[in-house]
Amino acid sequence: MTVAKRRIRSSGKDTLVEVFGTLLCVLFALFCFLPLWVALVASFSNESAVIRDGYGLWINQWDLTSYKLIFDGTDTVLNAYGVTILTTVCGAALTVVLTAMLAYPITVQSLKYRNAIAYFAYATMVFSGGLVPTYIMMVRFLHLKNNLLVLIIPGALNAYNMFLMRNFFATLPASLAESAKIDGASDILIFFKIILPLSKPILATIALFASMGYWNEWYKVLLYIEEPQLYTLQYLIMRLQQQVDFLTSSLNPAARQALSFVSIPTVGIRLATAMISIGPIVLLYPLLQRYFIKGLLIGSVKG
Amino acid sequence: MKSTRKKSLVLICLLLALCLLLGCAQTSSGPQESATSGETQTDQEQPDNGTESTGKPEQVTLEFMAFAPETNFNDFDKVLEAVYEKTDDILNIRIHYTFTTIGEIGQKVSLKIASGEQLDLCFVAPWTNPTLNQMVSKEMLLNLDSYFDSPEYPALGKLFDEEYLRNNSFADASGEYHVYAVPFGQSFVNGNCLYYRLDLAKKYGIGEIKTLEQLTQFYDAIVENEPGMMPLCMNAGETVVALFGDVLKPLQTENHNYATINSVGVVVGEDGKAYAAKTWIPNMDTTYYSMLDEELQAQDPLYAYTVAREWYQKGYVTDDCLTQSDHEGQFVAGRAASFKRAVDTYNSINARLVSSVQGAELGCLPLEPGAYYDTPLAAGSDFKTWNFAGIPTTSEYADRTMGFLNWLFESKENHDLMELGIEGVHWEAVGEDYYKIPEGVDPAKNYNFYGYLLTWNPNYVRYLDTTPEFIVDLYKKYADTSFIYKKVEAGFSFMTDPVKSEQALMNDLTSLGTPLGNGMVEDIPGEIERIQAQYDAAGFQTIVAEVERQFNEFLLENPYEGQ
Repeated sequence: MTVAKRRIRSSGKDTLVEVFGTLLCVLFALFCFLPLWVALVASFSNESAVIRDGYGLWINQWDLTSYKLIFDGTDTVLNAYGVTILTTVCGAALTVVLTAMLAYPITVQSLKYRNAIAYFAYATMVFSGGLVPTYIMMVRFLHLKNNLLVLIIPGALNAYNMFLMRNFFATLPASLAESAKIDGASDILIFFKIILPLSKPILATIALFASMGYWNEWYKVLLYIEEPQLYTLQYLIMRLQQQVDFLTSSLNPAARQALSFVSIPTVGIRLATAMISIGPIVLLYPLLQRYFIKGLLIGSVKG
Repeated sequence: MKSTRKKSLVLICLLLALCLLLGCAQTSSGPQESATSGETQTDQEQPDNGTESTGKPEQVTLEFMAFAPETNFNDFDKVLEAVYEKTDDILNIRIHYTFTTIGEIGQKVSLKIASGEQLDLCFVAPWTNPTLNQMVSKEMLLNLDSYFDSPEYPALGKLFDEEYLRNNSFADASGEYHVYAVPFGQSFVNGNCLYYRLDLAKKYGIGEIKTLEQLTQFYDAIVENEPGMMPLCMNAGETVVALFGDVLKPLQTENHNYATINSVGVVVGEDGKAYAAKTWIPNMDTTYYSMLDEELQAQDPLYAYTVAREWYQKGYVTDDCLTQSDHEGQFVAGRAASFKRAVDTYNSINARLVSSVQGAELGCLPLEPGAYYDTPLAAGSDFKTWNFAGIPTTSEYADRTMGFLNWLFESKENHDLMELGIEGVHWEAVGEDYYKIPEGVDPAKNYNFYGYLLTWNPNYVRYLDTTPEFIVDLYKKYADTSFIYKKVEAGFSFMTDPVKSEQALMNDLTSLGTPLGNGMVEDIPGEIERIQAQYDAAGFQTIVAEVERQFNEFLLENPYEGQ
């Protein structure tokens, strides 16, 4: 006997709520998008027009000067792009591998001192040596100054990410690994062939978090890098912005007096640099969004 | 199988432990080697003949650190090569200059010194974070007294005379003043000017503005005829009172026995002792006011504030002065009729204005009392420069670094090479005092080294030939020690350590007086009292007492000479 399919009719009230909710979300999205749009428009507009007429929604006077100035002469920006992309890709890959390799053993019941290891990791979240000891360690003992590796290795392992992964691995049934062990698989085989393929959501999440972190890295460049070839994109922007902030800050009248003849980088250049640096992320994000959402929901529904 | 696995695991653990030990063993040789051997910036061939017969010193690479807007200055390496060509026989050094950002220079320099990296000359200043004073009290900088008094470094002694050095000395932890950093400055006075639209002044029949009366006429004309244009544009933090206070005083006195130290007003009495005003506006403290010259006492103590109020009510000052951050940008875009900046930016402001607004002309009204009234000894200075370079105590090449500085200041040619670039390529001399950019050179790509990082000195100044004569006149006056009187606090540096916490609270209150200073407040006495109450709550009186105490100690060694 076939059962007729019944369509659940939504009442008028439901439709109203739906429409209202959608409208609210659209408005909110537009509000978030507006500053970005204004910045994009201003970066393509003529500088004096922007100062005279203010920021607007449409381009008054098309002008590519800011972009030309950035890409002209030195290839600092293109170089920085290369460095940033390299460190992001390598860093994210390294982060995922290292974090998984630290997190999984902690969930294996038969590892003797796993709680102690977890405790050590937790301690790094709470305590830290401070700036000077870290600097001395990186520069004098590890010789990582002016080295691309300083942008990749120190930021790879992070206790917070490790705990996230541990929680995920803990949800995987222990019987999987046990049965594989009975069949004679080694620990490494179990990890790479069984556990990792099942953990795609958390791996993608951690990879995404790590990529965002590496893409936005500027502090390590400030501290450890002195060769212009190794500058990252965010550092270039930060440098420009700090320059402007310092020169116009009202907390530094003495400095302003001293530097009274340094000209302030123009609005156009700052906006153009900002546009260039967020461009790839904004374009890549929609593609990675579904993994992000899956990752957020990890552990929320049991079974 | 299990036993082989166990053995291999044990082996791996042993290997890791060995690596740890190896890592520890390498630290002793570490940084010094890698710094000197690996880091020659330019590709100079190493002089293989070395030190045997020529007698010239061994080649070393000196590490300098300063700041720059971009990663490097244009053509900087070319200029350094020219320097090496000239100095290889006598100095034989290579300079590796590292440039960081203005905001981080203090932090990076202290990190480098703390970690023991090679650093031979670093930019320091009273306005970096940490300040020069703090670095001196932590013994991070070398005492340079001996270099300025030695026959081995004759140029240093000649160009930096005793008075100049004395005013730029800093007190160490024990309270003794020594030279801890080389000062760089071209003039001793800020040289603040009001830049205004000369074409508009001419249009409304006022012509060149030379007095404040003419200025108010100009502003009236702007308010009436140019709606939407700000007569006076100030950045957040600037006030009418601060900008015009000195020239609003109708009288200039012969004696200048007053000073402002760390925002506290101090006056020296006839007995040679200092008294610090207990009110935040020094003139409101009756004891302070009574110790000033009689002519000053005849004035209303709040003269500047009443004028500010008038100006605000007439519309000369607009409400957005509290949030403005780019007054120059507004001016060159044609949205403001005047703004304040120092006199040495004249050329760049002129270039921007003329290219942005059709038919605009730049006028300049000096706001320093000496220039404004054109009388000598009316503008005061403590002869302190704002930019220094110091040698860390961890440096091994202090002698070689000072030797380089000695060479730099030996002659105008050497100095100009570093400051302006290669003659003929980056600049061309016009007489003794002027220079011009050669034909066909793009100013944006030309050598743009900041002189105040290494080379500024009042004795060796060249002006761009397009600078109008009256501006050059002003520059020269501001660098002339006979035109400026020595402020009573010259040579004194206030140590904030005893009042650290009160100072920190006070630093948060600096912008309290801004609306009042711009005439935006109706009830002037009430507002003054309110601000006084807040200052007192933050510990202002403790700071006042400390300033008075320290300054009196200073006066014992450096009494007020009636200037």
